[in-house]
Amino acid sequence: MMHKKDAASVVLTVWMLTLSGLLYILNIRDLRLFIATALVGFFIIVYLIHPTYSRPGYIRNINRMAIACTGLFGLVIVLRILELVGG
Amino acid sequence: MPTSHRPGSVWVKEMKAAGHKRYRSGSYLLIGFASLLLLAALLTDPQGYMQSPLLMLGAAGFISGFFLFALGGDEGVDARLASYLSLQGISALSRIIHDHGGCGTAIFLPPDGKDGKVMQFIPMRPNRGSSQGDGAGFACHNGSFGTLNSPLAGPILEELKYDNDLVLPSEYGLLMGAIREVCEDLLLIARQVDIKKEEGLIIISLNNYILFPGCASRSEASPESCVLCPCSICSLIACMIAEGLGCEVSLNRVVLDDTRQSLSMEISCASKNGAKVVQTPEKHLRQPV
Repeated sequence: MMHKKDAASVVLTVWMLTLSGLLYILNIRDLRLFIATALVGFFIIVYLIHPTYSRPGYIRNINRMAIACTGLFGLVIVLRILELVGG
Repeated sequence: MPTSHRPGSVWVKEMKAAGHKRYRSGSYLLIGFASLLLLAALLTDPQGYMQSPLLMLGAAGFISGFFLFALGGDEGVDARLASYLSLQGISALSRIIHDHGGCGTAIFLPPDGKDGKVMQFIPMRPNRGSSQGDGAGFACHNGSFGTLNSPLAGPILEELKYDNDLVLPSEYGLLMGAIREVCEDLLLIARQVDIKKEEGLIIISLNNYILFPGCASRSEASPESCVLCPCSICSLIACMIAEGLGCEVSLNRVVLDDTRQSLSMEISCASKNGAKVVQTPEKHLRQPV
């Protein structure tokens, strides 16, 4: 049986490859949309693999990465809002 | 106190499975590949590179690369070597206990009060007493004499609570989840942990147990010493159950499966029922009651 860390990396890679393939097929060439949806997948995976009763060393790194990704996600959303407001 | 000076920290590091390096190697490969994709996107279409699908693949490579980088980190040691390192001195200790009249199975006693710690009672014939001043020494429990000591996994349990914020739920189902988490995620000593309850016994199986070689050599030398003086993981799991459920825990049997590299332990729990451990004064111990 695959360890959840291995499964998480495989699922994230598959999710992002599927997403980029889908956007390519639909001819949507928007990097911000890709990053935002890829990060949603990342956040869901982090939520699912997070242990309940303890905090292993790798989770601290993942938490730091999640904070950075939240910043990136917020930036993408703010840029999109500014684009919509600016017309 | 810095973590590196705490007694259990070295042991925790030893317990980490070799294989973390593959996460780091994978992350370097992905980040390198993502950089090449970005470069390719820039070179193929310098004006409209933002629309290039290569850019999306590059971003995917960066996110996956950093994710793998975060998952890796701790440097592991050879699992076989770690299994023998964790057993150093334990066979001599169990031999000493046996020679001093140790018999039966060790009983893990739940902590007395909030600040108490799990203690290990090993039944034995009283011949000589000593008081160590830290709650350890000869004691009487439920009518039988024995030694009362801090269990071998005491320091690592404290380390896990201190360094990894480990909490031990008092409900059976949740506690078993915590045990599974410690073995699979925190110490990475088993690929999969199966827990079942049969006829009042808790049977915990650690599949693909990385410390199997050392465990097998000890069990082969003296199977009864495993239950008389449980070492490393068996002791840790017994301590977690005793502290979480607040009951007396004893390890009835340890079964090793060579083909699956698995360790199964049969654990029995008994409620405390108000039974008290009485520290036996030295003068009384000189004359067996």
